[in-house]
Amino acid sequence: MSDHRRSRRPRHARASVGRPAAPRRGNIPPAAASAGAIQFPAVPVPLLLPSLRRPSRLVFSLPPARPSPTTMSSSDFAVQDGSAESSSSSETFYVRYFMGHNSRYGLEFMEFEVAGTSGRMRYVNQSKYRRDKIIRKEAYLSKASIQALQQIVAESDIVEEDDKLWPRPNNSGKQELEVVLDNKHISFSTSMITSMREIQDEKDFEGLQTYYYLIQELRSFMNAVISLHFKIIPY
Amino acid sequence: MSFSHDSDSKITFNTSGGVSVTPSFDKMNLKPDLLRGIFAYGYNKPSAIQQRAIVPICKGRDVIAQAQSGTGKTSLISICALQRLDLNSRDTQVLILSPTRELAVQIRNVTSALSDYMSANIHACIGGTSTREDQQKLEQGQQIVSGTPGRVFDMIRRKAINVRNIKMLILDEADEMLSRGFKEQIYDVYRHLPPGQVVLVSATLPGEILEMTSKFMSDPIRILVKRDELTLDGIAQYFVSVEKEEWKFETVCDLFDSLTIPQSIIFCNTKKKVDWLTQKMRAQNFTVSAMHGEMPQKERDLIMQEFRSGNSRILITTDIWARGIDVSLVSLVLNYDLPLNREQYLHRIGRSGRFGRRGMAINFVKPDEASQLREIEQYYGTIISEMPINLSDLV
Repeated sequence: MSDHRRSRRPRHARASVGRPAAPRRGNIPPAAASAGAIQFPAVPVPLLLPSLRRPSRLVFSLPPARPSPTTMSSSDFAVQDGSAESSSSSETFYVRYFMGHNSRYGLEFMEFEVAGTSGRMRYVNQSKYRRDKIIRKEAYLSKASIQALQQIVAESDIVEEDDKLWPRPNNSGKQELEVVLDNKHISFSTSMITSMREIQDEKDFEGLQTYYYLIQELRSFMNAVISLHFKIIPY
Repeated sequence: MSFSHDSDSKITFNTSGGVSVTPSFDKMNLKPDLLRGIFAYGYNKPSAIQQRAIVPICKGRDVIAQAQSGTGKTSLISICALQRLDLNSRDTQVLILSPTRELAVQIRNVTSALSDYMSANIHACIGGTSTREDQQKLEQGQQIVSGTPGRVFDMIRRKAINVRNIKMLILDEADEMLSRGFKEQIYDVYRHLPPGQVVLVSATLPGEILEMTSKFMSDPIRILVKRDELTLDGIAQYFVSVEKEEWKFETVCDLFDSLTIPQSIIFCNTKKKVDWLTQKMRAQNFTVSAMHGEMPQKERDLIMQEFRSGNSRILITTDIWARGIDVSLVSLVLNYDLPLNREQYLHRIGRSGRFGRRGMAINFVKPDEASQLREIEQYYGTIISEMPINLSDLV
């Protein structure tokens, strides 16, 4: 199935080379992808990562009319100017995680991102199940929580991994993890891993295991943060 | 007035503005006798939904109230029904409809417990009982009727329930009551009632149900919870991947051998499977009870009683038990089969972790169902982790 594999998004372990403007998966022209885009209200966004020039708005692209998982692209944080990154301090920290799939209820996904410098956390949960609607949440995290999160990511050594041998996103869904940590910038994508059993026979078992455990931790962390911020204690 | 699906799909439902919070029962302007009943029943402080919903309901507004499972929705219904009652009249004034008989009985029981210091007549009008007895009781004058739609409609048709003075209709588990299967029956009852207050209560209220409410509610106050805030933090959710259907049984036995749990519920998707599993577990010397919709009502009552009193510790059942029923000692819910829809998942796991207690939910997942569980997890923004081997240490 190796011929099935497409060319991969360029990754910049150390981005001294500029990334081409808005690199995009698959072959949809940028205009088509953003046509159906759900956009955050155009609030003036502080530069999340001073070192990375990025679009002033988060854009969550919906899949093209005939959804194919390989072109299902989530938010697109284009690093347009790599040279700026090389001057960034080691404090730069950024995490984004996306999980989504196409079902008979359309594209359903969950995504969150945390930008370390500003502490801004954003979270989206989209589903049209029984005419449900998208949920967006946004908050600012304290320095201590950012540090805790950064420690989780750093200790996992995820930035040393590579998703070259990981299962590709497929019909059952797609996951993406983007991390900027200590001048390293990774952007992995893989299929929905449903259990440890599923990855046991994979070539890069150890890498996937690292990834799998990190995702669990990240999600627990975010869950805790989000419920602390938004949930009313029901009792 | 024009109608278009296009503009319809743009409607969003949010909690109404201006919902005020009343943090104590004292300040809700309740009848003194009712207040005494509430405190005597052991409630000190209203739960979040009670703080928000009691006041508008008692003012006579139409209300849609959503809250997490096990956070006091039944008692909310009871309190409001009792508060709205005119005790000087013996006519039926409040009608409460629920999807299952056990739930209707539970509401009756809670309501009569709360009305200890009042003289209110409350009747459970459910199928599977003697129609004659029902009729006689109703003719004595029952101020509050809590029932299932079929029998209630039957009693209205026989003129045993005098609908003329009913001023309040409450639908418990409203999304279930307004979905296929129940909708027509509800409509049958509804069209016999004089115009009055309608209250919807449920833990899950999908958009399509909320859209429907404009047809029979006037300017309702909505108290809603977003789907990703619906799961309770107190319920730990796990899954066990099971390669084949046949291996589930062994896994159940292992699980119950290693865990000591006060009370637990095993959910299957079919009545046949409930019977089959019950037999197999009994053969393995487990003491289990079983309940499903095909059993005679007498037997169902008996099993409920047994389980509520704690005499039986494992109950194998179908989705008949998924909604509303409150047995506080239940701390483990096991989905032997994954539920058929997402709402049902939430209701099933909500049988444990009642009112702030800790609970646990375990799902058996076959490889082809794995993505289904992930979808549920993502939809409710919750975490269902793989069950650790040292689970008995966690309990």
